[in-house]
Amino acid sequence: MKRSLLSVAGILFFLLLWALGARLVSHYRGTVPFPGPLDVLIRLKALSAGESIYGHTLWEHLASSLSLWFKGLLTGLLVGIPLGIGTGRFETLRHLLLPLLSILQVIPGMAWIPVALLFFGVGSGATVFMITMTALPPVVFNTQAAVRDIPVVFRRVAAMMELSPLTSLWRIYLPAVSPGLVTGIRLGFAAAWRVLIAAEMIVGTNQGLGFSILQARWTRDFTSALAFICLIALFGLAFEKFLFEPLERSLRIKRGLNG
Amino acid sequence: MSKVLSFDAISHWYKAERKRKVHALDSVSFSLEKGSFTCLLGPSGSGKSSLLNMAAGFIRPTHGQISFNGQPVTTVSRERAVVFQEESLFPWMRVIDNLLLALGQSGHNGSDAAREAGRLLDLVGLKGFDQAYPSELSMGMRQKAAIARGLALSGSLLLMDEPFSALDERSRDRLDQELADLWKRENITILFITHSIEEAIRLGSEILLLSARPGRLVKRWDLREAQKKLDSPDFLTLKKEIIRSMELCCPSCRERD
Repeated sequence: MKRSLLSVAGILFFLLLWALGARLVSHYRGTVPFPGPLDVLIRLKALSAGESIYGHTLWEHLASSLSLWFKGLLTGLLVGIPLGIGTGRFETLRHLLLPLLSILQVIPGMAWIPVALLFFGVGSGATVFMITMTALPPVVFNTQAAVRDIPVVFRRVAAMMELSPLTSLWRIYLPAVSPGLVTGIRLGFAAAWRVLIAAEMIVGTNQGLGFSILQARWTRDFTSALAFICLIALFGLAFEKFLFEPLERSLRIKRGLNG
Repeated sequence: MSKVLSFDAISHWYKAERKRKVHALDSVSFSLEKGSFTCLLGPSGSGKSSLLNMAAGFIRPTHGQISFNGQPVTTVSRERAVVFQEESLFPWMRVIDNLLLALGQSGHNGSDAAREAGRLLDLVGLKGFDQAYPSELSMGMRQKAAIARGLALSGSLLLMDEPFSALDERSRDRLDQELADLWKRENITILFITHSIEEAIRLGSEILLLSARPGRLVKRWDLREAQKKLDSPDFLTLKKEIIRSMELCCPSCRERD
């Protein structure tokens, strides 16, 4: 209770700072007024009521972004989790793929732009590709580490019990790797969310949150731009708060790390 | 009496760093009779755990053969259940689910499995803790639950690898006592590895002493008739004798290393 009160106080303090800063910037620079929190809130309200902006409603932009995000992420998970399990379980495969995966890890998401364009041209395909490539390394490495960290004694108990491969996978190995898996997915989610916005600005279709922010810049509609940024933050936060935190907490409690 | 587990001329080398080979065991032979409580005693590196892991089927001896009820041991089997030194209960399952998973493998199902799980928990003194997660139990209780799981799997043979060595002395004494009682009641065969001479005397119906690396069988004591009270003359004499034997076999082994 006390912690959530403090969080609210922190947010209120930030809004106050924003309002003050906006006034100061507007006063001293004077060219374009810096939108304050209230302006952005009013704009958000109008947009969420269905007002069209850059050819679509706010919800259409949001839906477009979310759908690209999920497509990219899903591809990343479908490729990344098996890769992580494979490289975690088999040493030969790990040594074979480690250099490649390490290279992937150090390439920032945005650097994939030319490759994405060569592969897919301008459009959603390129965006999905960039998201996948960004989400892949954290998913692979965390899954791999989780598989490698399964204690030998668990493997031995599973063998000793003569569990069928399917039962071992379901009752032993999956629960054993699940915290690492969730961490990987969480980091993949966050990385993908950030690169999504950037990708939409450059290689995207004419829709989406990133695209809208860039459009707002050209049209000098900074209130809308900030409204979109707020939306991005809110959605990122919501996934973190209402999906991953409860998930990780329940996993921790089950393992008695945080009972 | 029939032999449950036989070690026949077991020698073992394992690979260490830089392709060095370490001679761990040197033609060790002994067998466990049905219903015996055999304590394997020896200094670190004498190959005690290796012998147990071979009996479990986790590793294969370089030379020699292990037989279980007359059949050569080639794979891991639930009939040779191990109680490990480290924590081995699955932390994401409640105690009861850890047991039920094992019971399901040994042919118990439905209400029969639930009844058997209740009996086993009662047997190891964990009645009422069936819904607890392992993390909610003390170390000693977790090891008791691991013993219950071992019994759920096998029911006739337990391979115990220093199961109480992580416990404080008082808890260990108590668990030793409970294990001794359980062994008498359930007529199981136990191979028990320990560092502690006192624990070995207290628990064992026989003690086998291994030398330092490479482990050789040095001596065997039959304790079926022995007085096991801590201050009895038998106990003290035996303890002195074992200590002397250990001192005799170890310096020479160290020289050879």
